[in-house]
Amino acid sequence: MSGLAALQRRFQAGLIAGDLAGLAAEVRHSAGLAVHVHAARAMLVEGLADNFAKTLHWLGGDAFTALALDYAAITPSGSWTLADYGDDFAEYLRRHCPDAPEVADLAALDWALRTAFAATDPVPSDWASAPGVDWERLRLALAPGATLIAMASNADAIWQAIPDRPIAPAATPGVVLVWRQRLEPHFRRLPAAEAGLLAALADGLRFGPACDASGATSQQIGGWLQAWLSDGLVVPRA
Amino acid sequence: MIPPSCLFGLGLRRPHHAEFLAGRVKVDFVEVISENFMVDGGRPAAVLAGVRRHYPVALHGVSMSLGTATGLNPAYLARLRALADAIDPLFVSDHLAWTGIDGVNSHDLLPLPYSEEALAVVARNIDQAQAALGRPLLIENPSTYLDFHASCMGEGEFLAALVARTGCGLLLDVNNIHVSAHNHGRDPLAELAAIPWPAVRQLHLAGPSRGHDGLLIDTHDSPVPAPVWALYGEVRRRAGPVAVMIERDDDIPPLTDLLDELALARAPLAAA
Ligand SMILES: [Fe+2]
Repeated sequence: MSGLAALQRRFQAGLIAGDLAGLAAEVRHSAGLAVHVHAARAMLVEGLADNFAKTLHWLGGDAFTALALDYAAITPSGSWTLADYGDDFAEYLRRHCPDAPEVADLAALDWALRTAFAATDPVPSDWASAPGVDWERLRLALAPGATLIAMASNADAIWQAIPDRPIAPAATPGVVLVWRQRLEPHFRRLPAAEAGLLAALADGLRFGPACDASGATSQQIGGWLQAWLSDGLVVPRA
Repeated sequence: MIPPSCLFGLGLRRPHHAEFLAGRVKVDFVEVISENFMVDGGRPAAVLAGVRRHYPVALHGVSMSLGTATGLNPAYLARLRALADAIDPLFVSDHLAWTGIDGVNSHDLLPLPYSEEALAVVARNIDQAQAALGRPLLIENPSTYLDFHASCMGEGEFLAALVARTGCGLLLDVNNIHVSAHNHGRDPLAELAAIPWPAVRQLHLAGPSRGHDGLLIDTHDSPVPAPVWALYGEVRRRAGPVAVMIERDDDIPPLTDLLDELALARAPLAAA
């Protein structure tokens, strides 16, 4: 191993641990070591603050920063952009704030919207009207950036209300769909039956059997499908 | 004397997107952070394409990690290449620094010892990047807070050797010269002596802030201060035609304030 690689591994391990004192013998003035310890942590916390803006607003700056610092200490970034940082922050919050499930739900929504924002541009949805689509056997997938979030709370309503009006957290389990239409990410809470069918399709079930298993009427399904297609939400599975 | 073909630009920052998209901003070029646009689709790609219709774009990276001893990330380079091919950039630049190793990114520009070993590493990495990108790179001098015992040359000497070995160009950040010289107790003017001026293509101007222990920190959150303007005058006397831009990443003011600041950069240099 080269001297530089060894130095960089020690430096990086120190940054992750939040302590570069072990490098003091390598440099003329050790005051600068603290600058990097601080900057590396601050970058990760700022990245989380950007990616989870509504979660930050809900928690307040101090509480958010404390959680973000704790998360950052155990979660190095592996991406070239901070926009990718925090993919399991919502799960982390679910473990650390078990009495406030809306916190993790808000984070999951923030993250899904963030992901939808820069997801691959959708393919045109005219595939559905092409002749010869075998709907019975068709397997669909959610469009890039579209996600179904299982929520325990009313975090979708809270998200919408921030920052203008306070709203109390409530236990309202359900599924929230996030997707991007043209350039704008959107979300909406789905009726349970629609959510069940969409989740089954996203899991790879064929359209015919999934519809049969959903128990919904063909009129209901037709209405949902029309909305999914006009929103560019589902695409044929490759 | 002012070189005849200097360009003056600003960074593309979110609060100003609409004005740049409308093509209303009187600048010669726009610099963007490459990584913000190395994404799959959506608004970032649309914004960049819209801005590019009105302005030449310089791609400025923060995560290439040119100093990493184990080499560059080929996926990163491929993504940057695709972006560069799409927008035909004025320049592609990144820093004389490393940001991580073994797949981790600190998102901080970490310092290198200016040693023969580091010189060989960075030169090899620049070769790799220039081959992958099919374009020359501009290397930016960083703000540094550490001075390694292992260093055996100055930063200017290190940059000059990189230019000689790889054919890369330089992005000289005037604020970073000021910050690093201050932090290491050196004379900023003396730092200019070893710079290979014909390789300098672009200049950055910015404002630092004061940290603990008297160190200056490269925060890009304030107007360009007097000592940086003074040093800019010295740099402009030595550099040929360059593209000059003001970096502002925090406490972002209205665009008119930045344009006023840029007007100072455009102003004819006072007689020496
Ligand atoms: Fe810079």
